[in-house]
Amino acid sequence: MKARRLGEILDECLSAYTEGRRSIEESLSLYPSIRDELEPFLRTAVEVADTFGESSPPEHVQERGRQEFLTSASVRQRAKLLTYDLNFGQRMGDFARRRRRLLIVAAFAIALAVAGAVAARLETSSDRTNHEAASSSPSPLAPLVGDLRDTQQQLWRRANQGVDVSPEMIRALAKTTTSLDSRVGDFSALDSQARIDLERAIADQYLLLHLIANTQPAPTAPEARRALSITQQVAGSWGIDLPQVPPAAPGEAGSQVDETPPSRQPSSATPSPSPDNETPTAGPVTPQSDADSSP
Amino acid sequence: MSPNGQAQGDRLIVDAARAGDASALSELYTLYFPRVYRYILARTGNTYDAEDLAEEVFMRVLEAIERFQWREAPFSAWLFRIAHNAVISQRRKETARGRSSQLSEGLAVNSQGPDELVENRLALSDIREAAEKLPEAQRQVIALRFAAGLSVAETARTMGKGEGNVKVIQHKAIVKLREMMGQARPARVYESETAR
Repeated sequence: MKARRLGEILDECLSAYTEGRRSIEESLSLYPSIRDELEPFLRTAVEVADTFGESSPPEHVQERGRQEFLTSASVRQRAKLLTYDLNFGQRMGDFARRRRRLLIVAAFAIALAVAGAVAARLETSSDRTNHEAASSSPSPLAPLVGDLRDTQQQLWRRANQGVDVSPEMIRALAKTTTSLDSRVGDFSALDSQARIDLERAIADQYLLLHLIANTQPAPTAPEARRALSITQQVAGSWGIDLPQVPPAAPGEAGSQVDETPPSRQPSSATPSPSPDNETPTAGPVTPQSDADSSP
Repeated sequence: MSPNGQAQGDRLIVDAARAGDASALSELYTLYFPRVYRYILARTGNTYDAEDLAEEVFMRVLEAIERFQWREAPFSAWLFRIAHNAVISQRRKETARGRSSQLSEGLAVNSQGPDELVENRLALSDIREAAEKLPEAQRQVIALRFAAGLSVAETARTMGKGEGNVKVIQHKAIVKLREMMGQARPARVYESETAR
């Protein structure tokens, strides 16, 4: 306990000395009862502190070190800024790619939901049509529309479940669509129910083929793009407005599908950022291009 | 300047230095380089090592200053931990190379010469030799308190000990130093006391 107290007092006196508040003698006079015990230690402590305090680095060493320190800091600062630029470009590129993928996935999820609902209604409608057909004159288009809807539903299920879609199924769909178009003749002459059914079937097919063209590998994706083109032509000849879909993300499988009709595709004018040079979209600035432009 | 005022000043400078402000970095260097140098000299006893290691410490500071957080320790404690690690690392290298302590050799450059060693003032080499025989914690306290000029609180934070504990260690170290140096030079005469 006594040693602890002495240690406290010694430190207090030493601090007072090094901070210039008291001399050794002044401190000792404050503690007369332990002066004899305190004095030798305090003097030793003060001499140790003074001796160490006088050993300063040579001026030239200190200045040389300062220059190296500041130069290194400056280099680091520039490197940090450059790295930030690179990282920013990388982040922006990643974000843009993720955003586009998310948009496509969300669009197709919505399309699938809509198509599912439409298909369900179509089945009901088909049942009703069949029922009506039984009671009235049968529509010559009904079997073909039924075939088209059956193929579409199979493709929806497979595409939705992530199962590979065969190009033959796509070709079958395209063939049925062409057959239907040749049977329809004058679309405007059809009764309103038939027009509605065909319009829904073609719109659903358009979304379905977009999904397949963007998610399936070759050779299905190119086949889907051909079928898509046929679907667009049929829709155009019938005067049907097709639904809007988001633009394809760069690097996505089969992503060169454009939502606009083939005649209006502006794609080939822009160089592709994708490795296989297949995606001619004006996508986000890539990290590399950003890095090139950074200081 | 009061400890609080100094802490505030330190904070402004360190924060600006962390943001890359060149003048703040320079000021930080001015404030701490001599203290780091003295600390390392007290620990190694070699002026060349002290120069090289002090510069190395500041390079490490540059690398790590962005990770420094005020809530963990004052800047001085953080800085002298880096310095301590640099000293330990240097010792390991020397041990690996089989190099013995270069206390006398190193201090001969910086000390005041053989004549002055017998004068009233304790030479740095005397203190270093004596301190070398102290336990590690006592050596560390002596170097931080007397060479680096840290307060008891800063020393405690640097060492991860309580302030009371640091005072006790310091007292024990001074008692032992006095014993050892008294044996070496029993006829010492203290110089006139003048507060710094």
